Amino acid sequence: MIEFQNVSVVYPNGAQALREVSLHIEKGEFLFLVGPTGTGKSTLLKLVYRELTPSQGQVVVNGEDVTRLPASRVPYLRRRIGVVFQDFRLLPQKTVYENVAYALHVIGTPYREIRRRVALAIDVVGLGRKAASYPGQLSGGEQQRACIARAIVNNPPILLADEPTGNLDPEMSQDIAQLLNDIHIRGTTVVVASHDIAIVNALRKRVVTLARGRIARDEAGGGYSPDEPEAC
Amino acid sequence: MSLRHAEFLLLETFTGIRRNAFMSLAAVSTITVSLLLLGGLRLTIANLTQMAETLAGRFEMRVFLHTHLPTAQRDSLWKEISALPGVTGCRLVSKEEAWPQFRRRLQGAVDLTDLEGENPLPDSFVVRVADLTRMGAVADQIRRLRGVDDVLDTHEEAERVASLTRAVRAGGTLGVVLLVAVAAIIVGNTIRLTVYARRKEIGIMQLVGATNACVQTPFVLEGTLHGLVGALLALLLLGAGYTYLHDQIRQSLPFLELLPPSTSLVLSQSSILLGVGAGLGLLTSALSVHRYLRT
Ligand SMILES: Nc1ncnc2c1ncn2[C@@H]1O[C@H](COP(=O)(O)OP(=O)(O)OP(=O)(O)O)[C@@H](O)[C@H]1O
Ligand SMILES: [Mg+2]
Repeated sequence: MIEFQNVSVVYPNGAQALREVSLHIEKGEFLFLVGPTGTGKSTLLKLVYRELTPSQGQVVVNGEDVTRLPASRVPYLRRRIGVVFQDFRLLPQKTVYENVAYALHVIGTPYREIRRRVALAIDVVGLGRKAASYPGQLSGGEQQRACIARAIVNNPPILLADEPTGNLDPEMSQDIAQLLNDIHIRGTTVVVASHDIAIVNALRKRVVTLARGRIARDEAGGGYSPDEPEAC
Repeated sequence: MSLRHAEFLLLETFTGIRRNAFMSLAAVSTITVSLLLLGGLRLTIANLTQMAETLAGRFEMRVFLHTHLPTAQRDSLWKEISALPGVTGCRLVSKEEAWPQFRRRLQGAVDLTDLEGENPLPDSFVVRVADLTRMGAVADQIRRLRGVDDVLDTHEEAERVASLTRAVRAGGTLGVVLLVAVAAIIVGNTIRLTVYARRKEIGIMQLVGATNACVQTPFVLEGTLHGLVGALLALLLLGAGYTYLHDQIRQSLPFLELLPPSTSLVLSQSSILLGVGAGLGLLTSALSVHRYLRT
């Protein structure tokens, strides 16, 4: 479903974020991406939904080489991928409800369907009482949950979550981990970049460890302890 | 595009305007002011041109014929002059017609009693030419015709007025072009600012799967609407101001004939201002959004 072939990313300023990474993710798989800060986890995810194109190598999503995707096809790729951004990226002028609904509006969902699905998604992340608030009026954790609701609202076949519990307390983190697992069980391919040892260990899924832009370990049903390949 | 999608894009446009009310206000007022200048300049030019033309229309030459010229020769002369290139009008002023006017004008100044009802005036023609700059040349041609005694032409004054008219026209066109360019820059910058303030949103919309058209349309509609509303405000202000000025001047300086605020004037102004406003709004917003689209 997602395939990296010999992928390297060099940012315009010369920073090398990924070095010859090859990784295969099956349809319906659940994968944790771990590793110290600055090792290229977010960079890897950005390649999947074409926020970035690699300097070298191929990224194949759903049988399609996204590095060669014409710009006009990119929106359609993104509609099949739900993304929980590390920095949330909520529209500041829209309420939580409108932010979540926007993802459905752009794909032409009927209004009645939008109301139902948005209410459900907001409810699932426990933000029901904040639906009418603007992102600026929310705590970090609430914004994060709004972002999760937007990512899952149209039941995409692929869900990418970049630090989805980075701003949540342990209890809420467990709830979100459970939610991600539920979504996975429904058949969605889920990739989670995380520092959160607790949820990585709790779910016992495949864990890919990055170190300085390379894959250092790839373990099925693995755990994660912070003393593993520490880069510096 | 489906109806539902159109509805969504329209709603997006209005929410966008409402939630960025301050930016909208800034955009509309800037557009109003620049279009007010443009409309004002056009009115000034229209009036100056009109005045110059009225003035030019008053220039004509007087062709005096030999006294006692037979009527048949007079008529053939009339035909000849009328047929000259550049002549737009040739009117006979017979000596019978001219005499009472002449007497009235000189009443009291000169003693005319010893003329004993004798009419010493010759027949004459009042000749108009299309192009004032050619008046001198036409006068020379007429002077050479047989039966013509003298030609009183005003070509020097006429030429001065003609060149003034030309200057007004040329300067006016240049001014309008310059002001449109200035308006384009000002409106462009203002609209770019409104888009710039929301550039992050554009990136986010794209990341959650909106097509470029979907992102762009509300911004472009918004820009066009700002342009239209700004133009409408400018038109209202201009209309009220000009009507007031026209009435004031008619009362206090009646010899200064301003163009009346007629339907045709209103139509010409509205089509230009609305066109320029909406066009600039559309174009600059489309270009601005395009800058911040990442794919
Ligand atoms: N836009 C950019 N321009 C230049 N360098 C960048 C850019 N984004 C990331 N980098 C660099 O690329 C490397 C990988 O960054 P990335 O964001 O992928 O790390 P990460 O693993 O997600 O880190 P974290 O756990 O802190 O989120 C870092 O060294 C970072 O400094
Ligand atoms: Mg990151």
